[in-house]
Amino acid sequence: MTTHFVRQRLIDPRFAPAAAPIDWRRMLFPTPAIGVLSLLLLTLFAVSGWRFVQWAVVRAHWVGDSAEACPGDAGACWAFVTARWKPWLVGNYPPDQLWRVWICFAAFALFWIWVLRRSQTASLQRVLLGFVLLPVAFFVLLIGGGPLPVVAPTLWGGALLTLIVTLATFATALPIGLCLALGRRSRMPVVRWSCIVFVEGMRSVPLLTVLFIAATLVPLFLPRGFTMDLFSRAVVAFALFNAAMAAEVFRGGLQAIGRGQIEAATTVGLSDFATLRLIVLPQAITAVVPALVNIMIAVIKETTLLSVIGVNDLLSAVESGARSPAWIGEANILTSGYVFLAAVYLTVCYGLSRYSRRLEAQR
Amino acid sequence: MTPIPKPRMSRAVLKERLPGYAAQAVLLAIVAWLVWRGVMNFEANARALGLSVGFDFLRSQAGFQIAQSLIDFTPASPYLEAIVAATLNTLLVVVLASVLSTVIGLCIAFGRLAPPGVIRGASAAYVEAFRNIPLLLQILFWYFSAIALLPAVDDSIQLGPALLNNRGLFLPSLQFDPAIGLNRPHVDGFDVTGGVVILPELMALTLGLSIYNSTFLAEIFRAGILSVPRGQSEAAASVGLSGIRAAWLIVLPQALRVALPAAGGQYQTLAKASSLAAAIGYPDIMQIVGGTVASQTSQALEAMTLVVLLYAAINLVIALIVNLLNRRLLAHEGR
Repeated sequence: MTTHFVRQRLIDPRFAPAAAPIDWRRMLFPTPAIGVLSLLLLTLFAVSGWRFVQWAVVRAHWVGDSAEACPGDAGACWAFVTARWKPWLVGNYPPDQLWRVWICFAAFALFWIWVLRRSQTASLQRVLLGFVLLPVAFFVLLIGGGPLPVVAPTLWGGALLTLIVTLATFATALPIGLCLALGRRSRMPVVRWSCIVFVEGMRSVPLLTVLFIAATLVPLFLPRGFTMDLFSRAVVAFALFNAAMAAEVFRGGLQAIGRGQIEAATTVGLSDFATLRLIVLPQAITAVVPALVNIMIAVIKETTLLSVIGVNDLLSAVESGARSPAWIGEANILTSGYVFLAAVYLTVCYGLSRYSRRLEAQR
Repeated sequence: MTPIPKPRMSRAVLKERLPGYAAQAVLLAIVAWLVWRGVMNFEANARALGLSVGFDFLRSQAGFQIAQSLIDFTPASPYLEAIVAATLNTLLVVVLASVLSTVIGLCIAFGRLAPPGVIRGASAAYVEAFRNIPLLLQILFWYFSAIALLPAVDDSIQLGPALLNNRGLFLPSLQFDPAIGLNRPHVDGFDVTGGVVILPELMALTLGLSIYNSTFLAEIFRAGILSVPRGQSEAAASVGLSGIRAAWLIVLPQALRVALPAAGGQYQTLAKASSLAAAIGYPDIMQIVGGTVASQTSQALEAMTLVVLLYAAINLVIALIVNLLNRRLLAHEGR
């Protein structure tokens, strides 16, 4: 007779416990004070939600091509949004060259799908490289030259301009920011101090001031006869301002790498540059990618400031639409445009912030 | 006795450091060349356009009116006083929005930490909605869409002693002149007399700045509150403090120690963002100095220099105040 001290047969798996029904009463009203507050909030939501639906759906005006389509302010004027989709999407881009814009949008959509669905093997560095190279390609395609007719950036506008400015800012601000962050850690005092002065100077000034300086003051410092259009100056201002922001992010990433890593690299005989390229940067950049996505969100929101200095971005396209002769009328028309824009920015920025959080959780 | 030879930089060390020195010299030369070229270009451009250079214009007569001024300002006042008035207006909106956004941010932070339910959901939705819509769009919405819905002067909304209409919020003010008392605003034909007015521009700007920044402050405060160990609030409960008193006396002071440096950065961001006043015409530094003064005197360089210096100074002052507060908070640290 043998005795077993260890079980010989597997136990059948148990059923998952039945989910406890949600106790709505406890969830909504754990204490009287919270209960009253919850009820108040619920009423507020119900009333404002109902009024918003009334305004945005029930009494809204959907079709029409002038302000006469939207009498009164009881309902939203979506006709304003649908009738002017083209200036909002592409600005004044010549109609016969629009295929270039569609290629850009399509390429960006494909690139973004690849970024979201990419396998783990496609490293983040390749994604960042894509973000640097893509805007260059878009820029060349949109501006033309050679066999393609040249389309000046003053004709670009709307969502296209917002997209290009965001991508161009991202593409230039990241490399410059990285250089500034490295320069700030340099042992050479001249390099270190110029980087510190630049970064701290930029960080103590509002972006709008930088844009105003780019719009009004920079032409005075350029050689006579040399002109640079407002769009390019604004993009340079954006790039330099956000480079300072990115520099602080990269600095945090560089600081997070232990001394031991660099010492180990020196021990195995890597040169300073090879240490930087093979050991420091891959770790530092991967660590700060979520923060870089947050910078991208900030840039998307900041592009609205372009409308203040008179560059035709998405917000500016909506405002000039409301001022165009066909659409002068009730304040309600402009409000509809603002609500639509808010929904667009909210969707894009919220989506990006979720993506940033997902990246952070993956680490 | 032979003198001890001075230590000399060895050849090897010099050889190693030489590229560094050379690179720094090249960088300095490039920066100096850029600055020199810029100055030369500026001189040439200024001569061609007939611009004058210097800060003498500060003493000449401004000749424009400022819609809201905390000091006595008339078109006859010099530019210097216009700049002072504009700076005070910026400080006013920064202080108002800082206080308001802190209050909202604290409420939302506690709301996000409430037990799951309506309050928590509403707080989270508030944060996600308002921080993902561009600030400029929010300010324009409050200014052109919300305040445009307010009634005209002759059917103002009466809020106690205050009046609200599309010309602004009219608050009662203290008066000393005939007798000490309240100077109540009242409708006088097509105008409102008495009291002090909060302009629609100031309302929209304060509202936009407060709501937008409160979402970031709420996240900062939430992180601070979460950093306080649970035992602290449990201990507070066991000595008989009510929930609100425990939050105010035990949790918040400890949470602030963690949150204050980040919150200080957010107040600096708020001060810089107040420059968006230029988009709706609130007479702040950006609008008056960077806009009106720069274009009237066509001395954009001097005006922009002033703008940059003023914002940098405001940022410095905020950093100083936050540091002082931080020191006071840490001074009470008993552990």
